[in-house]
Amino acid sequence: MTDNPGRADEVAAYRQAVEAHLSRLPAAERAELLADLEAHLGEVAAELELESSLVGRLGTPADYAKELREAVRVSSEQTPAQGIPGSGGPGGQGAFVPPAFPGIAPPLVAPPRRSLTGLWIGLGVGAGTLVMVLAMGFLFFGAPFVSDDGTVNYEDLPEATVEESRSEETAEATTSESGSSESESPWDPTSEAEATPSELPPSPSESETP
Amino acid sequence: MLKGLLDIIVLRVLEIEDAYGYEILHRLRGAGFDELGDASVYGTLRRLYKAGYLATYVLPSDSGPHRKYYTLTPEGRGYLKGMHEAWEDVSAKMRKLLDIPEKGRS
Repeated sequence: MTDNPGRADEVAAYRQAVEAHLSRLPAAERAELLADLEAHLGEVAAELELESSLVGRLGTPADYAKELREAVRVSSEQTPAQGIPGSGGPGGQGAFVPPAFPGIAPPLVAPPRRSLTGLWIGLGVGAGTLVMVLAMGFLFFGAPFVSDDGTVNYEDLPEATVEESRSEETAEATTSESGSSESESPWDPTSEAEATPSELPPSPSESETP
Repeated sequence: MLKGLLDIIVLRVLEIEDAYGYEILHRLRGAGFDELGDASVYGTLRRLYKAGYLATYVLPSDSGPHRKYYTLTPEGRGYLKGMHEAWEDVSAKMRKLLDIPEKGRS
C-alpha cells in the first residue's frame, strides 16, 4: 500500500530538484551527497500516508537542499567563519553554533599543551641556572686571569691552582709563552674560561626572565 | 544551536541502536528534538559515513524498499566518546555560569 509505484516518480523528481539547488557545491561533494539521496527519499516515501506528499513531509526541495548544505558544512569545516553565514538563515540561534565546536575542541587539546609549557619552563629554568653557574664561575675564577683580548695571564693565577692542575716543570715552561695556542690543551679551566665570554652577555637577561 | 551538535546527537542515537535514516529522525522527534529536519540528519549521516565513523548494511523491509542501516565503527565510538567527555565538561561549566546570580539584581 505504501510503496505504490507513483512514489518512485515523486522521489526522482524531488531528488532532481534538490540536486539543482546544490549546483554551487563542488562536484565531488555534490555527488557524495546525492549518492544515497534517492534511496533515502524512498525510505521516507515508503512511510508516507497515501494522502501526504514528500514536499508536505520534507518541505520544498530548495529548503531541503539548503539544510543539507548546512548539515554538511557546519561540522566538517569547523571554522567559526564558515559556520556563521551557513547558520544565518534560521535566525539568531544560529550564532551560537560556532562556539559549540570550538568549545568542544579545547578540552581535548589542552592537556598536552599544558604539559608542554611545563617542559619549556623547566628547560628555561635549567638553561638559566646553567648559564648563571657558568657566569658565576667565570666571574669568580675565570675573569681575573683573562685579559681583554681573551688570552690568559698566568702570572695572576693563584699558585694553588697552577700546582694542582699541572706539574711544576710545565708551569714554568708555559708561563713564559703565555697566550700561545699550545697552552690551552694541558689546562682545562682555561679552555672553559675562554669559552664563557661568548655566553656571558645573554646571561643577565636570561637569568631575570624565569 | 542544535546544528553544532548534530554529530554527537546522531552518533548517540546510533550507539543505542542501529537505525536507518528516517528512523533516526523518528527517534530524535521522540526525544524532543523537533527542530531537526530530515535533511540535517541525512547530511550528517553522509558526512559521518565519509569520515569513517559509520558503516552501513542493508536489510529488507516489509513495507517498501530495502533500508540502509547505519552502525558505529570503532572510530565512531572513539569520536563519540571524546565528544561526550567534551560535552560534559562544557555542560558543567555552562551550568555553573548560568547559575551565578546577576550582581545588580536584588
